[in-house]
Amino acid sequence: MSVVSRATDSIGRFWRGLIVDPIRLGRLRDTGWPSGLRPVVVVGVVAFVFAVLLILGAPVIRSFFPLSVSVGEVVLSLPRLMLPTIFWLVILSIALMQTAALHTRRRTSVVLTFMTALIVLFLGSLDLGDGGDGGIALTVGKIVSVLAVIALVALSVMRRRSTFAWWEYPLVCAIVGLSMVVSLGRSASQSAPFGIDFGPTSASLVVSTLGQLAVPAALAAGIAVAEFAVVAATSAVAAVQRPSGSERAVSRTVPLVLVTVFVLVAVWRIGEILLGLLADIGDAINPAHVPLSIGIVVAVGALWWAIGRLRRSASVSADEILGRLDSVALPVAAALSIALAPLVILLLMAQIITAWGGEGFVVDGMLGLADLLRGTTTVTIVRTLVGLGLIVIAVLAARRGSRGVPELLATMGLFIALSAVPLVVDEAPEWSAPALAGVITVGTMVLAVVLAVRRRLDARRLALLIVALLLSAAMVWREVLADPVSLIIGAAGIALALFGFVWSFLTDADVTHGESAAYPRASRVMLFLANAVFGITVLAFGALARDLGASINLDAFAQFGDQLLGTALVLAAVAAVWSSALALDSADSRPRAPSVSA
Amino acid sequence: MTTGNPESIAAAVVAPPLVDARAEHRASAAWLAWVVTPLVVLLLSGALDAVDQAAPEVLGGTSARYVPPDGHRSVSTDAAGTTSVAEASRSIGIEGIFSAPTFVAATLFERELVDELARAQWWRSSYVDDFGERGADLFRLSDDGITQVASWGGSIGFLFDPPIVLLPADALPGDTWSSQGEAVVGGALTYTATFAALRAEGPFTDLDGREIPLTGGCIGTESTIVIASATESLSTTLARSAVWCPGRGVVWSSGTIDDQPSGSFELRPAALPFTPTDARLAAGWTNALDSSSELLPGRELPLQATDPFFGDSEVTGQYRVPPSETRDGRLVTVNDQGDDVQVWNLDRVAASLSWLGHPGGTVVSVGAVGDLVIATTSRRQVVAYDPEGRRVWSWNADELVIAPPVAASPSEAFPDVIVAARSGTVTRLDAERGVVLWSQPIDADARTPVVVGADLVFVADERDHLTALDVTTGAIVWQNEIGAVSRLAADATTGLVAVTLESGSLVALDGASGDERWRTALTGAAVGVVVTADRVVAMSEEATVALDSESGRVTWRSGGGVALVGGDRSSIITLVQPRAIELRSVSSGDVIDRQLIAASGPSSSVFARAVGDSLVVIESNGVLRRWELRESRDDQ
Repeated sequence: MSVVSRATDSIGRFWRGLIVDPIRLGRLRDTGWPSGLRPVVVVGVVAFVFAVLLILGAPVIRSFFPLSVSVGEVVLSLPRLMLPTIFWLVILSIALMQTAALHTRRRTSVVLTFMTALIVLFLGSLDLGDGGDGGIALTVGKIVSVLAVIALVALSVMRRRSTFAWWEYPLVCAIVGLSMVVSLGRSASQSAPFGIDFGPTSASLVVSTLGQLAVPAALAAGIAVAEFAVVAATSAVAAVQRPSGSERAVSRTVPLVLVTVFVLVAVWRIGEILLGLLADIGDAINPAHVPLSIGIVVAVGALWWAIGRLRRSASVSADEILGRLDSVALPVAAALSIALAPLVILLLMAQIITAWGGEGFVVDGMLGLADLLRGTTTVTIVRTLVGLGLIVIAVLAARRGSRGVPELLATMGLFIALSAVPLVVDEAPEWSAPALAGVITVGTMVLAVVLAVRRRLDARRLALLIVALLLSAAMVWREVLADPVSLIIGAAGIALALFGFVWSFLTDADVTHGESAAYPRASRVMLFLANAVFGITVLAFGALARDLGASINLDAFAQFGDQLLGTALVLAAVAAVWSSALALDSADSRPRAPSVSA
Repeated sequence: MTTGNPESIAAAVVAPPLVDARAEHRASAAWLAWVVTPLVVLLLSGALDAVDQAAPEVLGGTSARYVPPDGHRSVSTDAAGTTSVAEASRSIGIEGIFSAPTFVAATLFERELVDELARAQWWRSSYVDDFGERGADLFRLSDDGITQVASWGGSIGFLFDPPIVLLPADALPGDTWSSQGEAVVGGALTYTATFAALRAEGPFTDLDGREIPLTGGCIGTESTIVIASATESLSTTLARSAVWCPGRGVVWSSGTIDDQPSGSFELRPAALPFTPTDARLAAGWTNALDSSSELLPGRELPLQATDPFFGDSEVTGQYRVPPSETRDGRLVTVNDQGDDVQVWNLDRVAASLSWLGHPGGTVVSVGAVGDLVIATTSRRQVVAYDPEGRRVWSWNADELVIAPPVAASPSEAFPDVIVAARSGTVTRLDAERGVVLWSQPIDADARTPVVVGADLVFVADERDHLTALDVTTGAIVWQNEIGAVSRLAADATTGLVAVTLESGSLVALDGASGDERWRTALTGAAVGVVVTADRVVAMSEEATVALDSESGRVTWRSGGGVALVGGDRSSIITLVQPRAIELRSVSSGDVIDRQLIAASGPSSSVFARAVGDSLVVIESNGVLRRWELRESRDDQ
């Protein structure tokens, strides 16, 4: 095999390992969908793609259409003609959620229907009446919203014991949509003669109130960037390590390739650290951040050791870590956002009560409670409890013999608990991604020397160490992945969130491949789509406003997810690689391109 | 399987058709699902588009097309050669009369139901001439056509009841109409107006004989308006021929006022180069401060506009756009509705409206560059006014300009204008004509603010870069991926740059190279950063910290606040806290003087500006307070 064909083959394997296989494994696909679900999926996918196009085309769209601008603490500027599209996408995602709720287990159904009812009543309350009397007037919009809620609840009760039927989604969509069309239409027709355009205000109110519900998706999207980086590292080495051909050929050629790659990557990583330290070029390591970074790596090592002891099986591969990520990322993100659901409920209820004429201490109390839920104290408590809780769950899972999940949960728990420290002591703990990357690089080089001295540095271990070095680069440079997109959009934050949303949409639909009595397949598919479409819609609103701060700062949450949970994922992958390299057993834990079994 | 049981046999016989029926049913259901689901989704989209209504139908019939659009600017000369600049403002509802003198607005409120006024469509034409004489005419678009409601600014103000019909709805050549009524409240002056519409067949020329283009189907009117006192002891007759053109209003008029010739002729192109004058330079607040400075108690200044005829009017409003200040010590704000630029003269007693401009659309930011007042608008325009309030030029940016425009060279008397559009295009505009001198994209969305120092323009962007551009050529000198910048300041001489990051860091960079000099943590959301000769002072909502410019060593700390005023190498810095103003020594942090701020109503934001030799704090709820320095102790 010529060098060119080997290189081509390696590139092909890298592409398959990085892009093709994760998508084949994790994409939304028909795994026995009930009749009539396909059109719903098509609607959801088209809505998602449309929202992505809105984000990518936002600069062009803004340049073509008149901007509606309102000036306040932030300048909200929107291409006015796009507002109905935003409302449309919001309705589609709400209808997806509510249709899914018809067949889930009772408590989920009740919670989701309650949330839908609040949203519909809230939208109905936008109709303030002819005289702008607000709460005093019983308006058509409000009445229609109440009728819509009654219809949705009745439908929920009637369809509880039935299986999914194709007409449910169009019906729910029509009910929710009709309510919104009536209230928005009346609101517009009442305000326009006065020269007042409530469209942007209504859109901003809807997106900023409901947008909090997209936070878990944004956090998970942040993790997806790190996931992509880890897959890239493992796939790259797998591609180099496993050229096609006979085993004989493999044993003869791979070590030389691996040694060359190892040397090149090591020179890059060490060179970068030295350039940063000596010449202040690139992401220089702040020496003050090194001790705690070492402490974090040691703490992760200790947690892994403890988990291994509890499970009586130490070595977990990076593939196992990645394989468990999808089942962990969204629940952890949801746990971190646990205060946001009641916050949204309180905000919606306060606005509904006010719109229906209620005032006074009830509304004040709700808003006060909402402020409390948004406050630093709540954030600190949530992060601390989630961080420690994840470590406890990791221990329990390890005792049950689970692999991958305990390691991931423990590492994420450690980082989440660390993120609560500055909120408690008003002093940021001094660690940073460059310092962690430096510690990983040095640790990997030390490991290489130790293994070489002990004559255990075989091809498998060399490959693992290359992965570790690449992961150290991913620790610092993974945001570069979003750079091409940010060049188009002009904003790194939106690009990072968009990258994460799209990658999650393409690869994280595993949950829809299964089925249970509590969550039938159709409900899983629709909940997945509802989450994806709503998240990307909120992001599209921010992109069209050319300022995510105009509604809810989803990019900040995506960056938080990337920096905290993504860093934890990369570190977990490093720990997996190190422990595999140190393992005495002969099990081949080389990075392996994922394969599709179905 | 059959067992001989008749029922089983029957079931076996019937079963196959049942299976076929279910399959058929499923097939039809699938077909229906593919039709109904997308159909409902598309119908929903169509319904949302259909009910979305941003603006009402324009009143005034076909005659409304002659009314200039909102923000339209026209320049004309009169028979005496005096040039006048007019701006058109179009509005709907009560806000349309808010800019009128209080007497006019109150009278209109008395005459009509609030609901009718709330739906009324207005056209205001405000003008200012070479001599600084200014005034405004208020017109209404209604089923009657275009009517003139009021006129103010001159030695006599008018409030017509009923309004004079200037053009009836759907006016056509050959139509005639007339109206009569009060010209001032109480009937002390009355008017009688007769009009005839005619075909506008030119040529119509200006004073220099240049033909005024009649575009889009213009219409002519001939009118005689007699304004007389009740006793007819005083009478004025205005005889006028006028030409209205679509979207331009009256482009040509000629006639007499009591047999004296009068007229106005539109200038096209309406170029009005800005000619800098030696404007009075106000003493700077920061320059006036020293270690013995003491503040007089702050005063809450009423905001008022004075009309020669209608008298004083109280101005109220909420101020959401950060204000600015002119070189001659005037305050620049944006009005409550967000569509007028207001320039105020401040003294110890009151803030008096000097002039207002209407650039069109919503004003996004205001700044003062040399003698120019610059506004950026929702129409992506950058609009420049001279010190008299005449719109001298406007320039179309490729995106919204959110950051206030700044001077290319703060030390120059007539500096050019630097603007950074949200798209990331940084542009230098010639101050005289608003033409582009250079334009440089930075390949990312620009954040606010834009700062100039040591011949460099510093712009932060949404891709976490801080970019320095050569102020002369626009070339990018350096770019540093520093993080998301929230506040930015630079020393005019050394170019030392200090930024606060959204991540909670305070970073100092060398202006020439972009190299990071030092970095430290700043707790709380940053509200301001200032670079002085040897210190960097940063304020957040939770803390104020002063650091040595060279080493980044903390020299003093204080509590947080809402605004920081200083720089210009001053040794004194002003800290605006929620309930107090503090003067502090930059080097030691010692408090030199402190004055309490009286409580006012709820306010979402507070802006502090050094305006002339005073400090002004303006809250978004419209409360304006002013502090000035006590005269030296020797004078007391």
